[in-house]
Amino acid sequence: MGSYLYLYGLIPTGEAPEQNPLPLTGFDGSGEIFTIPVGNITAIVCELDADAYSEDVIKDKTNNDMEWLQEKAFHHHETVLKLAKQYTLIPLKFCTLYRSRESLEESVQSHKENMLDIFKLIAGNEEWNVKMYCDEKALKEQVSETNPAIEAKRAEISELPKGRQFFEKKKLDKLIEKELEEEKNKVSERIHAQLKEFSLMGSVKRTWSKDVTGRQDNMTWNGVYLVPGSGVEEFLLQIQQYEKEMKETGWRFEATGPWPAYHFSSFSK
Amino acid sequence: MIHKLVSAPINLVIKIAEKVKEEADKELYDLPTIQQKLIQLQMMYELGEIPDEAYKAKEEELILRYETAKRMELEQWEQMTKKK
Repeated sequence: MGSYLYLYGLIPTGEAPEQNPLPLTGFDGSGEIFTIPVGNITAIVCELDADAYSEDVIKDKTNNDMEWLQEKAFHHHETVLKLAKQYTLIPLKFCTLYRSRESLEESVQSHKENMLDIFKLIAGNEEWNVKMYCDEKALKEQVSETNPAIEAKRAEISELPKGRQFFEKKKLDKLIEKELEEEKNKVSERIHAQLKEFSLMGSVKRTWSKDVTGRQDNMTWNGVYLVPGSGVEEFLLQIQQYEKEMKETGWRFEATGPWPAYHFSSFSK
Repeated sequence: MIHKLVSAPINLVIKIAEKVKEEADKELYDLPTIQQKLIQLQMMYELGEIPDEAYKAKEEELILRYETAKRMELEQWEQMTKKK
């Protein structure tokens, strides 16, 4: 019977706590969470029974046991969150396991330079997620009333004989849809560019369907931003300002954070 | 489908806090705890760690809990104001 090491994250050894094990409970609900220094980098891990948490067992559980998956995923993220509040943390993916201390050390050694660069990048900075939603009905009305191309088309139609107006109105509807899409993209991209000015880095994530969000309005943008700690207040004030200014035209904003640097700490390049 | 929490008027900016309450009843019916769980769940989905089905099921459970908690809060408030 052997054991595996479950890796939660990596921190600079200079920040490593003196207390070992840490006052946190491990992945199996009873074990300890402790640190393993590998030169300048310290791994935060817990030990797991190799039979109870073999690759096959984990694969089976993640595919077939929703309760288990939810419980363990929450455990992982809550632990990572607690660690990120205290240390400059490279958070690891859910269920990152090593067969031995040696294989963990080897992996850290082989990515050492990238990991140290990431520590420099994320130290003192916060990851924020911003989702933009748009009420298409409200925006459509606005686009329909203010877009010069649509106005021109409408004027053109009013001059036509009644019979032709029907078909031209169909074309106009299509034009409105097209302009609506363009407007949504233009606005989202403009805001993304502006938010990036407050950030060290910004990246775009896929938007979620209505089926997943369960909202009436559409998610038009999903961005993550690495914001300097000193600039977070300004960043959030800017989002509040957008919400205030754009509410009438159907836009909504949702900012969550600070998250562990999930999207800015990939070290396996 | 039940309406989702995100359609309800919630804060524009949601700050992630550590989970501070461990007691079972608070865990179940504490509004900020439920909200924290919901946004953590969103991140798990974002990171591709849980599939659609697990996301939706857990979200629905949390929203039902949120609504129950909200109702409990309202009832407590009504009782308090009645006493006065």
